[in-house]
Amino acid sequence: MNLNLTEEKSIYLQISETIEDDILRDILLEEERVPSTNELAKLYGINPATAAKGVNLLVDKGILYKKRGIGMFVQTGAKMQIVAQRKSEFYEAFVTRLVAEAKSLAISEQELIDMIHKAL
Amino acid sequence: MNQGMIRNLKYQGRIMGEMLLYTLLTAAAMLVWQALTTPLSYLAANLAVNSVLFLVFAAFIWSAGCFLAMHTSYMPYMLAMGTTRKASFAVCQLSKLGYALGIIVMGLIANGFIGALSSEEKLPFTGSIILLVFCATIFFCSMMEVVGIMAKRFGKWGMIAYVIICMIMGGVVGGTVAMSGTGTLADIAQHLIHWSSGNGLLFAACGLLLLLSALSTLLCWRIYRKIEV
Amino acid sequence: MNNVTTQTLSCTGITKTYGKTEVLHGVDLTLEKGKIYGLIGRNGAGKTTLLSILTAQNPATSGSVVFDGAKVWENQEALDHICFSRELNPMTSLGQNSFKVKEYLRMAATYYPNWDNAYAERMVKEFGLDKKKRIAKLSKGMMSMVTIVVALASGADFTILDEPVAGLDVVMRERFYDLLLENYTETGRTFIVSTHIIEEAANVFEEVIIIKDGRLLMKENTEELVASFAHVSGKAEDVDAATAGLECYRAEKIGRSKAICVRTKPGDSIRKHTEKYDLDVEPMNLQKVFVALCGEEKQEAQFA
Repeated sequence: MNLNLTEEKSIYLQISETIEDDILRDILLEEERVPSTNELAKLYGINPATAAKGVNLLVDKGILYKKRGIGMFVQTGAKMQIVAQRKSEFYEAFVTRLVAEAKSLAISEQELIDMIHKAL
Repeated sequence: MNQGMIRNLKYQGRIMGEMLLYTLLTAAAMLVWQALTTPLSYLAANLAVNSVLFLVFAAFIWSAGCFLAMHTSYMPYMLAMGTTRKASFAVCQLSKLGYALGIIVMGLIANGFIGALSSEEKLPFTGSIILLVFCATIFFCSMMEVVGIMAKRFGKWGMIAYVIICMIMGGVVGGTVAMSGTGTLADIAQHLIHWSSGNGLLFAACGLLLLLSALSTLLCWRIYRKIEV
Repeated sequence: MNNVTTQTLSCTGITKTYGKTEVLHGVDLTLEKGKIYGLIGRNGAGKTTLLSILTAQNPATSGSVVFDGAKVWENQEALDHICFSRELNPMTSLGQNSFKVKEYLRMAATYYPNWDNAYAERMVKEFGLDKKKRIAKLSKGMMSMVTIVVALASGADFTILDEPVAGLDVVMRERFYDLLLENYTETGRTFIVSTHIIEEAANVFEEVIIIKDGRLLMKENTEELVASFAHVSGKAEDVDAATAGLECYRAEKIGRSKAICVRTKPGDSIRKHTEKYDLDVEPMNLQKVFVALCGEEKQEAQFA
């Protein structure tokens, strides 16, 4: 779990992303319990309401589900869901920026493709 | 308000108890001091009288410090911790009463106990004397309370007022002693009291003391009701 | 008393005048149960005055303060639920601070009905406080620790801390935020923390209350407030075009470039306004938002 919070993004988003990252890295397995909001609050030194917002975001997305009286658990298939979601976000998050930056440096289409080939 | 009163009684009651203890110890110390500095015959003759007088004197010293501190230290903190002005002020008055009664009780004990040891004429610590001591203690505490709240409300000028009052009182007492030529405070006190109890002046004086106390307490309350901490 | 969940501490129309100067101008504020509030404002904005009025320690010139439907002034029942742990002053005025720490804690134990003595003792030990020392002789940091002990151990439903971290080193400050969160998660008490060290504490505050010049500027969810702000910079004309009609603060001009803090309304996003232009859009933090809202106007910087 990455305990460093940045100022770049809302805290609750960082919480939900960290949990998603941990699911992707198999740090949190499917059907396993996720730290409670109080535990997260304590860990990060944040208000429990903020932690709750981050967790609830994942519940809404279907990544986590609540077991009454016990806590929050990782949904089966969550990992696949996160991968799919991030794949679709990949274009907006990385590709458009890559292209915009390349354009501002006047890198041609072929140059760009060659660079990508080199990196792969 | 009941809960608040109980808490104040607990806390201010303890302060009052401590004050009584210090008063007793101071009076005892003064007696010891006198024992060391005057011929034993004189001491034996006036032990009971002096013990009462020293007690009263010590009472004035301690109550001065305490009631002054009431408004500059204790009450502001108590208010800061969530007590009401009504409850804390009421209990402050009760503690004055308790203190005066405590002094009387100690005086009676000292008078009876010590008087039994020596064979001299003790100051009749009964009736009018008790009343006088009671009223004087209440009066003095009330005065100090006013000075205390003045100091809290108006700062150092209140303190200066206190110093002036002390000086005046000290001057009056010292002047009286000097003017009477011979005799100690004990003698003067005895003369004064015998003279005044005879012609009802004593009761008038007591009444005046209580009236002044009541007025000064009222003044205190007017200020305390809205005081800022 | 109502159902516990409806307890709120609120004030309406609070005005406070000292002599001829009005320091609070008609403040309306409602504090709901079970949140951690941050109260921020510049020195002299009126924070402590407002807090002392909310807790019935000082009377307001006009306006009223109500707790759970009943006025707080001289109301012991209401005051039993409130704790205002004030900043202890290093100044000794007329022997006011000649109390020993022990005496101060004993007083707190008498006057706070929910006082947890074991908890207080644990904290005293952890902080290394000398109970026999007189308050006037404590360092600023130690004084803050005493106010923290009193605030946390009071167990009051509404607990207010005024500058609790003044004089504490960074390790102790972090420990304080830990203790605060620990107590909050266990008890769900309402906390109001007034502080100048904003950014450190920002993550702990669910809502932030900003006092400016004796008025309530805003009371908002911390995260939503900060997210609504952005720092936009680039060529001056582009910045002006992009931010036209938006709430702007702290414009800085350096040569041909301009930087400005912009607030967007809920539902709006700053990127919608800036994507047409080549501008840098940075998020802000609570401290920067506070400075934008309450700081002095910046001077224009010119380069020869």
